[in-house]
Amino acid sequence: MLSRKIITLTLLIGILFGQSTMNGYGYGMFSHNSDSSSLGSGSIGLLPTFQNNVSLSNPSTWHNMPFTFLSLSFEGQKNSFNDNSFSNSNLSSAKFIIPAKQKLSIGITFSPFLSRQLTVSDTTYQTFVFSETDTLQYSRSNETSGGSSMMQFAVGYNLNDKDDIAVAVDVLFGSSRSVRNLIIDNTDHLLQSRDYFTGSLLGLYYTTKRFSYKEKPLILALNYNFSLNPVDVRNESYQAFIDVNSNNYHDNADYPTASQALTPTDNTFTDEIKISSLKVGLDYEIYDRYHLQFEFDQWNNKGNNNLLSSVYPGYIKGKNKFNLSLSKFAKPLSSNFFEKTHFRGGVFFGNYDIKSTGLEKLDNVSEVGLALGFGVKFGLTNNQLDLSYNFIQRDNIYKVGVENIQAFNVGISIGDLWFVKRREI
Amino acid sequence: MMQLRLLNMKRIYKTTLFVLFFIVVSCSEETILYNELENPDYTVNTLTLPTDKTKAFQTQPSGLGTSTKLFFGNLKDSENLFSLVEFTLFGGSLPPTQLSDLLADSIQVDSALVYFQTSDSLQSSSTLSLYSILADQDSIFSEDSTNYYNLSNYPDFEGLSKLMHEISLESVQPDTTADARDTLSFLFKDDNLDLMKEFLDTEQYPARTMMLKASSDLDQLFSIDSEETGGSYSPKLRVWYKATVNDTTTIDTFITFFGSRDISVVKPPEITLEDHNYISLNSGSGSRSIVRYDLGIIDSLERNSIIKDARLVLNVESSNVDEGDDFYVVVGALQDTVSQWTFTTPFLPEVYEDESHVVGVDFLISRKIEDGKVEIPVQAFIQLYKNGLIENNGLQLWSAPANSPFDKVRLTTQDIEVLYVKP
Repeated sequence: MLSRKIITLTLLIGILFGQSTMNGYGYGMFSHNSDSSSLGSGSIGLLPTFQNNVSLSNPSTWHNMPFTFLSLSFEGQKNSFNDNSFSNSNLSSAKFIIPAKQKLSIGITFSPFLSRQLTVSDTTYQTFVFSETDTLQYSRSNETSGGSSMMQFAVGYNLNDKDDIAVAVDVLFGSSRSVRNLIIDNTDHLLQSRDYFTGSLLGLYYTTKRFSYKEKPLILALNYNFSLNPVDVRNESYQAFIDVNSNNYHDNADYPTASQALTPTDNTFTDEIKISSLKVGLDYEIYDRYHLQFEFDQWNNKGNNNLLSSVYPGYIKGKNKFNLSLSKFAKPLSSNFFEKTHFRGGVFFGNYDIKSTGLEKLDNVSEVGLALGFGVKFGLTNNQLDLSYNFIQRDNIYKVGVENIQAFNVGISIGDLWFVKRREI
Repeated sequence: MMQLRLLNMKRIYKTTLFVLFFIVVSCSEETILYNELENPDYTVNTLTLPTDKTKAFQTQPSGLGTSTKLFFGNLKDSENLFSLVEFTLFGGSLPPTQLSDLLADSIQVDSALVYFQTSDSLQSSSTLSLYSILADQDSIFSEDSTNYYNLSNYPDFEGLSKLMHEISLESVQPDTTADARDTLSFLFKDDNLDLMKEFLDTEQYPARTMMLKASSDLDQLFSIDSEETGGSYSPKLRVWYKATVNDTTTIDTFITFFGSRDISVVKPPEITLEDHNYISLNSGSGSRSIVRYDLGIIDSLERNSIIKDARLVLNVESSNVDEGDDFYVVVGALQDTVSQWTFTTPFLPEVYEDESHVVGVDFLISRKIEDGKVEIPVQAFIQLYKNGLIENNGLQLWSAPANSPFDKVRLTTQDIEVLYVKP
């Protein structure tokens, strides 16, 4: 009655769904600046790209807006590696910014913070012989989805003609789900868990026009982000079960039945994600409305990463990115289509520091990207439609190698005039 | 300015619709291919559970009181001593007539017939005798608990019995009609009618119980339908009588009383010392067994291991089950610990102690012996143990109620091979 194990590798292929293969690292891929105007120049969002003195991602520039803006950005991605490709689209950010009298500004932003949308499954059919007579064929899949989101509350203030400051509090919330599935003879054996994220970040912004070069302004922008409350992850892990009725839900038709199952484990892992980042940007107006921009971002995650719920045996520990951009901003009050259009372009280079959590040493991931975009103003309140295109190539991704990403982003910003005394009729 | 605000409000609405559209389409996904990520070892694996302890024990014989048959003759080392049939106290339609009512002055009993149905064929020179138990108690036996071993707890059935009638079993041959049954009739008329009247006197002998007994030379199994068969196949007592209503009116009619309880009392095969060394199962003698496996290794499994397959395989060492007959083995998890792992019985208190091995409702399963072995899936039991919902007090094995009480099997145990998986 002794069992024998015979492993028959028929086809070593797996299947993956998701936004990016990078989502498999740690708690997923961190979302960085995601408004359409910044993406059009490959910017990290520190320097003005929305208008010639406004960046939607830098609260210290918001008071320069003449109108209150509701800005929404949507992204469509096409990822490809080897001979495979997939596409995905999602809301990348929603902002509501209220400037007051060119002096003060407040804003609320909602955007994704972590994305874990990823399914890795293999069609590596393996055979297991039990009791010398029963032959089992099995394969596996590992699916994660969801991720945390971020709600940012920011206040900007114009100190004087040259200096602007801002402070932003990012509240992180949301959850992700993980399902490991062992498929034996077409029957699902599921292990489900859920991670709940809570934490907050504080961002400090400073933008100054104190510098100049060859009598032309040289804008310096600085941003420092750090964890106010490092992200805690509460993990609920449910007992594995055989999904007898194939409804992906643990009920009393399954084995063991839901009523016979162990209660979920509930563990909170503190300080799992602890982010600090320093961003520096330089903007130089080389000609009238032509801006040459350089930005650098040093991003670190010094969290504990103890939970090990990662799909890959490693997480993103740090990231360096710099970009060089050229923007031609629209001419104010022009009626000519080209004159009232912002044109943007840039290149960027990045490196992800991957920290291995297993025995296998994971390579760092490098990326290089090209960005193009434009924004068209329309209407009396400087409404703006922004379009951007990014081509990104990432290398050394675990088990993937090179991944190419083409990202299209559409931003629509609607302006309105607030805090103006209405004339009575 | 108002126009400007209205214009912008419209734009905001359009933007909202735009957002909703994107949220709807944002779930689209396509498939790409990807190399495998992990070493799949240990996702599917096996382990072996060694036998820890076994025990044979005896409990109350079961199945004879609830059987659809009453048995006669000697078979497979079992000796059918007699069967008891209790009849209903009342018969007829409203108002019901009591048995003793038939002894009233206004009633003239003409004849009576006690008859039974059988689906067995028999060619034998044996006889079947019908006795009346002249006991002064109302309920003299229990379908649940009366058995060969505790007869001393009940009235002396044979001592209190009075022969009423005897018929020959020379040719019992069910007809070929749909019900395929033959009738065994005990007719009471004229000379022996007083014997029936004595039986009807329930005020003096309230037991209203008859005993059926085959002659000792019946060397094969013979059965009749018991009251559990139901309907027209139950044992019946029919009495024809004339009732005087008044000076000018006499009713000539009959009334039927049905069997209400019955049981066969069987002297089962002896439980031998050799039986103690096996999983011995026989419902007629109440022979059962307990087996406990060492589940220590289960404790060391990871929390999310699923016990996918585990079979308790028992090989038949010896069996008296006839070819073509089925024998089902029932397995249940014991609620309490076993204090004595040697043979125990409630019927020889001077030698052995009685232990009540109560089986819980959490795990109960039955499987048929096939190809010389029975494979009982016990993965649910092991999973319940792993989840802390059940204790490993052992598994009790017994002969299913559907089995013949004369069938006895001896089984050998072996280690359990467990297939477990971890997603």
